[in-house]
Amino acid sequence: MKLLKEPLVQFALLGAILFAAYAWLHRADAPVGDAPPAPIRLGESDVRWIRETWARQWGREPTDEEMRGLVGAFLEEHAMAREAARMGLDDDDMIVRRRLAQKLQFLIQDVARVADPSDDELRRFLESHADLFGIPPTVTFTHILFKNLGRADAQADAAAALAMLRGPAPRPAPAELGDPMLMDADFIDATPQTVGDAFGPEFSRAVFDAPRGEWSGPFQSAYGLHLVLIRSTTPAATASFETVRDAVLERYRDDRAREAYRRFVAELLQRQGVDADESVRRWLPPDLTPAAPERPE
Amino acid sequence: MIRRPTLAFLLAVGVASPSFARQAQVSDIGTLDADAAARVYPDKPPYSPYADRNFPTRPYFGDTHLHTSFSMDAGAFGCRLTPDDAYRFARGEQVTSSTNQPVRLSRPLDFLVVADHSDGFGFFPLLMSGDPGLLATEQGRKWYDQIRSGHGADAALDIIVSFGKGDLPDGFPLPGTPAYRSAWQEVIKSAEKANDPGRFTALIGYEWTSNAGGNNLHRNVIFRGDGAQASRVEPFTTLEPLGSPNPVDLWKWMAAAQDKTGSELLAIAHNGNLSNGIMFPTLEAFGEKLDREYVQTRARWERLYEVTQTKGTGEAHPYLSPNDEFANFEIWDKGNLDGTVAKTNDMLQHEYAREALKSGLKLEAEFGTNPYKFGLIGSTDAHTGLAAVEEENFFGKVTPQEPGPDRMTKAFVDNPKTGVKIMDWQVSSSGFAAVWATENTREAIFDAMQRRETYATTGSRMIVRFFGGWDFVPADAHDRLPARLGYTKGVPMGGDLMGAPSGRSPTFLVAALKDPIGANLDRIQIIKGWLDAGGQLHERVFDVVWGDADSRRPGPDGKLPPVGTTVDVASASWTNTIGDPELIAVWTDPEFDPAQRAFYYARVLEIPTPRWTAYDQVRLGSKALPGTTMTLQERGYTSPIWYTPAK
Repeated sequence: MKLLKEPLVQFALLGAILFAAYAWLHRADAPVGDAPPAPIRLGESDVRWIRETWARQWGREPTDEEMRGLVGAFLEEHAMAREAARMGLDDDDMIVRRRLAQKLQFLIQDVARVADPSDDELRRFLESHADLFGIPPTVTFTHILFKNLGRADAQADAAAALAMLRGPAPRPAPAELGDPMLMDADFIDATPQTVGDAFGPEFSRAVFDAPRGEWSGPFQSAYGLHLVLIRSTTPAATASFETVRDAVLERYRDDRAREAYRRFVAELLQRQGVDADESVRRWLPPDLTPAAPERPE
Repeated sequence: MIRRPTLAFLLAVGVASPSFARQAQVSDIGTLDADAAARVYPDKPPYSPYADRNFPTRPYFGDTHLHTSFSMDAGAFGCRLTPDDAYRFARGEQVTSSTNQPVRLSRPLDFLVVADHSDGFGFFPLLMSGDPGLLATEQGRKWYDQIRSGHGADAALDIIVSFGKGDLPDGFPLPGTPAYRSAWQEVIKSAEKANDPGRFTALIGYEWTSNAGGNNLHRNVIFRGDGAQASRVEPFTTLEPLGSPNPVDLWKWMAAAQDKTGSELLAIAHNGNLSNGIMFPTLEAFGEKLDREYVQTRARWERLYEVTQTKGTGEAHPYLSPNDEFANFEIWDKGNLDGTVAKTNDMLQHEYAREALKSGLKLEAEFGTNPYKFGLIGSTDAHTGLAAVEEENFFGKVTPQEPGPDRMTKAFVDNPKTGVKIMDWQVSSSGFAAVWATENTREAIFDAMQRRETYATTGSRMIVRFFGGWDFVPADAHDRLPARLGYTKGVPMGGDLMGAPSGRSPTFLVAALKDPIGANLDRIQIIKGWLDAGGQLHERVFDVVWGDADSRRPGPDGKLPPVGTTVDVASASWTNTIGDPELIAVWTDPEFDPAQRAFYYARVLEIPTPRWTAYDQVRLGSKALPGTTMTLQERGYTSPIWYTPAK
């Protein structure tokens, strides 16, 4: 299956499917009653398949008599199905239509998934999706809250406290300043999401931008004004490829399957064209230019 | 199973522990009070972020109950999103909804359980692929035709009704069939892909949808373990003979599955409000008298109850709690799930969580075990693949209720024969499960659920702490580290208090912090239920602490005046100019009797805000029907703390 890893082969496969689908979709263009169809092919493999299916179901080999009956039924089904298709009976049948579309969808998605990308390709994918696999930055900090409630001027109180914390010794202990709060005063190795979930996104941004190693602020949160001492930070990092390779591969395959299908459908629609009545054109997907279907020569 | 604080932890709070003392010498935050500072704020936290923090420091928010197109009814209603899509959305990615609308959460969730109906897993894909066996049946053909002619909603309701009657076509996928197995494998594979320990948890689960006679006895079953373990079984269904609609059989299956998989399991019941009086039986269930075994088994497997979701809130009912002015909240009390039998008042006592918590006390007195000793969570039960239940970002319960001009005016359930009618506007934009886990992993979240350290919200991400003990004093409410104090001096929500020390009443430390991007808080209440010496059950709601306390006092009747409102329905807006962002208090039970069994839980109310219906009017220009609820007070409900007298 090494070949299948080659993007060129993948592309060729998709192309082949597209071509097959295209040919199939246009087969009805041939007027009914034209040249007689090719005979129904009955090969050794077909007969083997008929025999095995029967044997699986009944737990024994079919007798010769039964085999003749089974082959007869096989031919009958094929002949009927082909004639029905020739007459266009499948065209307006939602069961057939949906089943065929679904088969093709699975096929496309499977092909897109089977394609095992090279490590280089995965690395590139990881780079372009760093947010999904990356290690977010963290911050370890202590904060002091000044609530508006019960203070005439929380801003002034916070500023005064900041001056004391930054001023000459003796300095007050942080625990003596500000107001108590349900949330911990210390946050250890907190990600932007953790800080944001606790205090809101603006506060999170402010904390990650605050200077290290000194008290700063006040910064506004949903609960009041905070002075903040950033004790340490770690920058955002790209996850090492080896540790996330499996996850990247999964995501790559998923995205690939979705994208391949989406592209396939878009291309297919574009190629086949849609001949829409004026009155219903507003319902067409915006990227689809309505046109009469192009006919092969 | 309640985790008691360790000795080391007591030391850390009371006096400086050796490691803290050592660090105090390298303090750079002051000299005067270096010791005091080091005690409370060690200059340098230990290298290991989890050292000295063996209790949960933040709640994780999630949804334990989300359906995707893998659920037969969701599929019939038009849901096309898969479990993969559901996880991507929960993690904060933008996705395209089944009605082709871009949608994203304001903030990612921390965890998610895709819980599709175990009956007919893979049914919908099979039906829509035109499976010849299924379409050869009268029903299969009828549903298929309904769906293809654009009457998917009718088909969905018919499927639900037929399912309730156990009247399903041949060819319906059952455990053991390839279609069934492959659907279950897809669900597992999706969860395995999305699970990212420390950042996002995807628990494996499914919904067991017992719906006998249209009466809702649904449970969500959740695995603690991983995909390899869950793959060793296929979900339990309700269709006989393989499955059963009787919860007793589900518990048997869970016990066997636990042995077979090596993974622990739990079950969470929901929507007693649509069970027509059979969710919380007190005398008999499925024709059998309740006995010791029933109560023990139920207590063993069902340690949580889903109290609020899109199909209404089931904490309390105005008929059962006439003195509770907030009991009438998002109530669905017209009938059973499919509307085939109308509701009568005598059913209500077996449907609502508060009443069940009370009955549990009585059953415990009788059988020695309380079958209804459950904690509380909320979840969505959305059938859209989208856990989107913020009022201003509500994507409906089912796909036809995704934002659109008609979603406020149509009927969701309408049975002219029984008169049961529920309008789409009554669908609730609710709720979430908040779990006080020590970290964001399958194991930690599952374990926190098992010890009931959880609370429900109606969609808000407020933070709620609730501790019970014998030694809390008013000053504790002003402590810098209320959580440490709480775990040191008491037990958290979901815990137990046993045998009161002589002459003491239980004390509670309760606190709430508003959702950082949400509304201020109106009040915290503690709800007490108890069993008196005469065998009578009682309840009482206490206002414990409230916002705007400087200007807002209880009247002569003891009643706290309403917080007021800032909501402007016409513009769907409000301001945080009333209420408080944070509330905390210590409360002592003023009428405690040490000989009587009791439970206590906290209810936290936000100030009024616009309901999703109000946002719809503004954004979609749709007109609400007369009588439509346009504002609400979002709320949180904690798991109770139980008091049991010494023997």
